[in-house]
Amino acid sequence: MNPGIRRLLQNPASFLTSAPSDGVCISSRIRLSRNLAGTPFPLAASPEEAVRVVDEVKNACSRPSVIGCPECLFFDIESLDDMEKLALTERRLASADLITSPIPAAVAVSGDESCAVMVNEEDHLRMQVLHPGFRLEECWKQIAALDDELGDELDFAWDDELGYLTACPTNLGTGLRASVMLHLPGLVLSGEIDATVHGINKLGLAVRGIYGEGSGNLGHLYQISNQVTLGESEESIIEQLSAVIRQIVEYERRARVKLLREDRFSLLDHVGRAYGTLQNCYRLSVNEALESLSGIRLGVELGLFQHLGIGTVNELFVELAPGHLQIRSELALPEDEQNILRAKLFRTKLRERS
Amino acid sequence: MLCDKCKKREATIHIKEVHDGKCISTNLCTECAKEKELSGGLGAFGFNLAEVIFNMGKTNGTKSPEEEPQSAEVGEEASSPVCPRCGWTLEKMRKAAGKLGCSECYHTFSKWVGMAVEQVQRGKVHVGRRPRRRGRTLSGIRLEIDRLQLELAAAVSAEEYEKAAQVRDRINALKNELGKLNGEGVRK
Repeated sequence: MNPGIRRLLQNPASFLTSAPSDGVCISSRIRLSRNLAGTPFPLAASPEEAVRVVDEVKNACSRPSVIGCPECLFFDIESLDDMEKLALTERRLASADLITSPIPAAVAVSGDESCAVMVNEEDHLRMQVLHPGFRLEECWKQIAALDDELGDELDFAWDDELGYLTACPTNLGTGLRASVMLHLPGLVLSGEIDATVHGINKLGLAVRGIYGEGSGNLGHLYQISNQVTLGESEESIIEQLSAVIRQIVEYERRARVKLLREDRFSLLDHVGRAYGTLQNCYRLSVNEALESLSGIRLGVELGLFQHLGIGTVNELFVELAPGHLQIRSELALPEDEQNILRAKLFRTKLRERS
Repeated sequence: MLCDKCKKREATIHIKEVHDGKCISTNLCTECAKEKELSGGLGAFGFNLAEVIFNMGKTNGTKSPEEEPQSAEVGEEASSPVCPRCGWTLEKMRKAAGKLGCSECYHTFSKWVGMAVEQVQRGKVHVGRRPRRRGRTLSGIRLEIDRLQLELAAAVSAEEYEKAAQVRDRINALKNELGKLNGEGVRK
């Protein structure tokens, strides 16, 4: 196994470590898109140009203090096997586009996994800072410092009027995308989610499932992010998003309280069935695992379980994914066998706790 | 209002598309909109950026492949500018869902990109941080403001008000940044 991947897998995924939690916001992320001046964007770059970009960014990242070096890890995507690539996406350190890139691509990851710099995704650099809980301001401080440090080493494509130049005009200007992952079972169960999503869209923000566009509301998880990147400062974009997030958190909490008060047995049934499924199943798909785990997460947040903590829920959330599951078993398995193994993982973990 | 597609659920998403100068509005419910999105009809922004750019290409005299399958490629290649640095054309941009080939493309295709930016962004001028090496120093920003103020005066006297407004926004953004660097808020 790749030694860097082995090191990452020794620890829980950083975005799910326990943080001061409001019970709704799971994680916060900010990413910045940057390109190197004078080199075609990855989509139009030749393999030689792509290799040069990887080398340049690698050099810049290996300077002391940049993204937590010397503890920083650097992965050439071609050097990883399929399971290792998947594990990076499951820890949210690489995107699906990066691991399937037709040209040489790479990712630099800080030892604590809070920072990552993807190289040759849609843009030459996609740097991100990822933290558990609702911590956009902290993400911003950290990524602004990283941007300055890398910007001292690398000549970023820049225009005085248009700002940072990106491969897609939807990222132009600040190149900033801030997003928060929210767990909204209260709004889903009470039927208020459609109106909420519609309202968020009207404010010019995007709502997506956790596995990107088109993944629906799997596990009652939603990612909310800004769409506008040009014409507003980074601070103002982040503040506007934060204001909306605070409001949604409030709605979700109210919905949960209301359900507990007015529809207690539906809520208990939802949580109890999820727990029963995960504790007793012998075949478990990723989707069913995520759906049921959402019910358990809700139960834990409402204090319905005595022996089960949010730590176990978070650990299972990453361990259930195909890459992690297969690496742990040290075998590449067909889907049905993954489902059997996943069911075993849940039975074991949840029986330990009951 | 009911959804135009299923005619059952309430429409919550309203799309206005301009085709050949004609405005077509579509009203969809969340589910039908999701379907349309999955089938590639909608981009991340509720519309397909590539189609926006492509439709702009059409109004500029190029033909769509659907209309003239044989000559489309030739027609577009002939009338589209070609980026001198990466060789990108409007057709390539369309195939890449509105993405550009290199930073020079922003100049080569400024007309099309400008229209796309107007659709997806809130402003036309970058406000916010700049690379340190591009002079995020007090004197660097002051010099830039001086230069822009001359540009603003020139634009006003030439009655180019749209350009003047852009330059003014840029000046305000720089003043804002100057204020922050000085640690004393926005200076008038």
